[in-house]
Amino acid sequence: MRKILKKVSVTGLTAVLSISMLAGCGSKQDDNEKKVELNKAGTYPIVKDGTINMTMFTMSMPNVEDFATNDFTEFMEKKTGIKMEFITGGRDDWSDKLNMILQSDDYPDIIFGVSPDIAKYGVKEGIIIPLDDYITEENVPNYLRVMKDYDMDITRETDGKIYSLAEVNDCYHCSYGRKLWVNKHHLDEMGVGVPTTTDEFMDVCKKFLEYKPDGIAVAGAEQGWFSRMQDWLMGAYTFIPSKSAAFTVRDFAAVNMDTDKIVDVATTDEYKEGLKFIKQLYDMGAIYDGNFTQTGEQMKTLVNQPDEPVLFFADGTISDSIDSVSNNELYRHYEAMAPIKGPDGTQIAWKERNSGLSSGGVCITDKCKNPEAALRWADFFYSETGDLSSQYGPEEGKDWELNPKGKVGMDGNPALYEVLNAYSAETQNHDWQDVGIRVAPRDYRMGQAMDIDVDPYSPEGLEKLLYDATKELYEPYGENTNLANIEVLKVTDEESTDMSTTAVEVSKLIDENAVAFMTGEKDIDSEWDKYLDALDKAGLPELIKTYQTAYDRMHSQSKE
Amino acid sequence: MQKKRKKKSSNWQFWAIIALPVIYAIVFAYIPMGGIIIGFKDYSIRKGILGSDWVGLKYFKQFLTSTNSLLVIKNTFILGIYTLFTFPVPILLAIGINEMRSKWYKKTVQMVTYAPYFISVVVLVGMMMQMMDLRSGIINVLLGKVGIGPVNFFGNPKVFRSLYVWSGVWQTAGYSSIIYVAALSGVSSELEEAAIVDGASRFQRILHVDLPSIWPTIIIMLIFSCGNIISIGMDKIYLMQNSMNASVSEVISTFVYKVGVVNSNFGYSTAAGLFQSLVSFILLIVVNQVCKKFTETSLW
Amino acid sequence: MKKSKFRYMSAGDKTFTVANYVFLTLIFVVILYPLIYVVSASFSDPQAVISGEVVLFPVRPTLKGYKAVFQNKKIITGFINSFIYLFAGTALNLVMTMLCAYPLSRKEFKARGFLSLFFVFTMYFSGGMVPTYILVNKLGLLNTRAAMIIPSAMSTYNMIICRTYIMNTIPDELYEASQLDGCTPFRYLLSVVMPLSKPIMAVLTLYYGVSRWNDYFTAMLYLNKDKLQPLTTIMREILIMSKVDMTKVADASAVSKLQGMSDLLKYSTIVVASLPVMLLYPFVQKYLVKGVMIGSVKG
Repeated sequence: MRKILKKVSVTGLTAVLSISMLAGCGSKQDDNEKKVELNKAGTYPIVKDGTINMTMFTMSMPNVEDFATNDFTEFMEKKTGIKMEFITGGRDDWSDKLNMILQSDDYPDIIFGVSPDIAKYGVKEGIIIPLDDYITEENVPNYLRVMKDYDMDITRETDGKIYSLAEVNDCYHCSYGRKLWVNKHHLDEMGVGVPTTTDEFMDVCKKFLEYKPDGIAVAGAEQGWFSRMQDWLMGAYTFIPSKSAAFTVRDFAAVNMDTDKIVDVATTDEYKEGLKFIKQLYDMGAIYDGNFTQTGEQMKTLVNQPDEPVLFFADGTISDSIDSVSNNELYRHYEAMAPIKGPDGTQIAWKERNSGLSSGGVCITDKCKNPEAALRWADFFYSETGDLSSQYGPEEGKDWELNPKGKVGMDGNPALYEVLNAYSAETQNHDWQDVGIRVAPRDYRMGQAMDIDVDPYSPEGLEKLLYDATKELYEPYGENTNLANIEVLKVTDEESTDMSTTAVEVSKLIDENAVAFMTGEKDIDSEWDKYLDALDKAGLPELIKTYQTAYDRMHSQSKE
Repeated sequence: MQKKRKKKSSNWQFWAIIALPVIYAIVFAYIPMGGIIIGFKDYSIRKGILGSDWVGLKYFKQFLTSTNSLLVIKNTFILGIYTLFTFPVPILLAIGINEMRSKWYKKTVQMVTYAPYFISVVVLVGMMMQMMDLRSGIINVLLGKVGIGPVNFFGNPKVFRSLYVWSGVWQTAGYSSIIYVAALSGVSSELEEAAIVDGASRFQRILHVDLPSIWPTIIIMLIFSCGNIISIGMDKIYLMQNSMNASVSEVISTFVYKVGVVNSNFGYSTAAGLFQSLVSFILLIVVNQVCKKFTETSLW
Repeated sequence: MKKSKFRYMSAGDKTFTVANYVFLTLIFVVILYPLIYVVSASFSDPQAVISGEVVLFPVRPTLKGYKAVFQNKKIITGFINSFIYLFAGTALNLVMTMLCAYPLSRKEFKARGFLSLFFVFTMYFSGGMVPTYILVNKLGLLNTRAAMIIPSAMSTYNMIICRTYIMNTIPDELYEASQLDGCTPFRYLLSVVMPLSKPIMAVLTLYYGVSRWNDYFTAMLYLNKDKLQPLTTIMREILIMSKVDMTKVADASAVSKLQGMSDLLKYSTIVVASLPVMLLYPFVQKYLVKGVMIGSVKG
């Protein structure tokens, strides 16, 4: 009897305790909203008298020692009158941490430089507040000025409201990031030129394997920055999009710019032909088996082997695979090459169309008592010296200089600024380095003073190397298709929940079958229809429909 | 009369001793356990756990009826059962170490065998990839010398399972053997001496003195291992996955992680976790009852 | 017991000993090789590591990797914090585990079955990260050293191992004998069980110690101030640091300089992060000695 009594009371107590503990976890609104008086718009300090405190969540990086005592933080505090306290999460873990914090009722005022799940925490839960009423000349003049050249609707969520400030990071060579690098040294020794068509490509591979029987004609990796060689090779047949924005999976969904319709490239005949081409290369022995499974690091090992076995390798930048400092000789042997032309004349360079524009840069939560002040604080980053100050330090003349005399930028135009206190990998506490938001439109990035005569193959010349390669070999082919990546797509929390499993399953199917077709494990002609059926069963049509709905919704909003 | 009173009073003393751990378990294990309810609700932070809408078995259905669910569950079980077969390795290792005469060699072997446990899983997988690299990996180089063509360890589904399980043995055998070494050190040396006097060979001694003495430890560890069949952790296998081995490497934890990364869907991941917990616990109860019946040792 | 010399052993025993040594040596070598590789790679020229030239011994030895690791100012605080969490945490673990395992090992304790189930249940069912985080928050433990020590005060798995050990190594006769002397359970715990449990406490120290030392996730979740971060979290950050996002940084050549360090750092950070704990073992080793029970039952 005592035993049973004990058991029951313990369980009962536990149950009561659990429920009461967690029941108190619904979010509470802070009742005393003390509005602080602010100075006139556009002037600093922001706060009229004294200072106010705010808390902020952002990413932490090892090269920033301590946000609290950082020089740039202090600069901002003196300038604006807002004392910022920081909660940080590491680069790989911030999302877990932010989720915890937002669920726990004890979250900060501002979310900065990371892109939280706005569909969930903003639209659905209202923890992140809409900013429409606050985006005015009064509060964010710099932001509006920057956004004049861009479409602000990118920050509109599924309910039509704006929940964040956008970030711009227009990295020119990144917008044509999918590149192939060829070992010119080997080509010269073989006496052949750089291939320009798929037939020539096959010929060169064949010759290479005769010239170097244990060599690797085409190297690629599954993980790495633009290191999937199959994506590059397919440029001769169709446009291969990057991971789609809604679910960040490789579902090969793309938008047809002419018809505004979402299509899935992995079901098209052109895609099928592309796979066949790669299969031919594979049968020839030109495709290294490891390409489908290895990491970028393994590819790097391959490329760096003493006998220099690799002819072609896929990479967003040559520096990921070869170190220009310790192996400059090998580094000089490779150069970028233009996309090859397919049998029907297709020659596509992958391109990113939204100039590095992304939403979710700055979000304000409902715990913030002074959203106007917070936004004015953030607005500084969009000013002429804001990005420079945050990245390199706030001291003009010491960290950077505006309009330096006699200097030019990458594109040959007069330089807008020169960086004096360069990016550092070591722990420092002078500035925020690459933490926070980036406000770097194309002109700004091009406007950085560069030594334009630098040897592209020297370690310092990497920017120039990439710039030249992009401009001469890739930009000309960027418009050869009417398909584009789905760069931004907002789905509701419900759509997300419903389609998340489908997205993962579809992408797995596509990926696994692609490899099977390319290696010949499955015969592409006889099994193609089975593959399409499997995709149907996994829910691909519903996924595309969801994308289409979200896409149309976004576009009807921007027409307002 | 006196004995009964003694027993009663000693019971409250036991309660006093165990009070702190019990409080700890209630606070840090049972109170958060209430959160399991999230698996049945469309959790809204605003509404709190109690106020959120009840969706019943929606997430369970989503988890169990997706196209891949059967495959994923099957893969998890196969890897789990395969791992179970390697259960004796740490025991053999411990016995071997225990029988060593040279103290110095004994210490070194122990230290080396338990060292791999410290290597983070990221580094371990990286090393494995490097050692089994098709071209430059030392394993394939050695195999090549014996005339066996390069084996695509990471890309060949048939080889992958063995790779996963045996690398796990490499990592944990030494570490797991420590508990058996400790147990063996508790074997009464009188029994051992008696056996030697009786003329038992080393092998017979192990069989008739050592093993029976550590039998309860073995059983308890076995019960735990059975309960953990379905709990294939995410980290290591996620790092080892790729499109070529996915048909055997996709397990519950990695699949749920991928779906969950896509959107922070706590309902879904809680439901999947609950499924795993239930299955594990049921397995545990079954094995425990079986052991209770046939041996004297059991978890409870 | 006199150590019998090899030549005096029976044939059967001889084969056994030889086979034993061969078996163990094989395992030893298989396990040892990758470890040697890691150490060698940490002292090698990064280019040699990358091109696969490093096989067994360091190629073009250099201390660059270690210099890079120790240059980070946070390393020292990291070490200190890790040691604090290690010692305080493991001490707490041992106390809690013993307090729990001992009553559960005594057949006289009536609630033994129920409580065992009570604890084992928590191994399989958990509310997950979110409710635990909320709890830690409500208890005011966020951003304190206590958050690293208290929530993980006991592992049921280790507790059961301890319980098994006590049940099977300490004979019931001892307990009955003590009862006749009027010994309370509490005194029994202190004067009999604890001294005889040295081997299992050694094992627990190792198990708990390792787990605490390697834990970076708890720190990431509950700690904000860098001052409180343990070594492993900082190591992870350093490793991540060298894999910079190309798109974020304006100057690509700065990025590529970092990447050269990345492979070098990978191995030196492993060595630095793992070595202290590996050295824990020799200290613990001497408790794992045979013959603990001699003389305890006689008389």
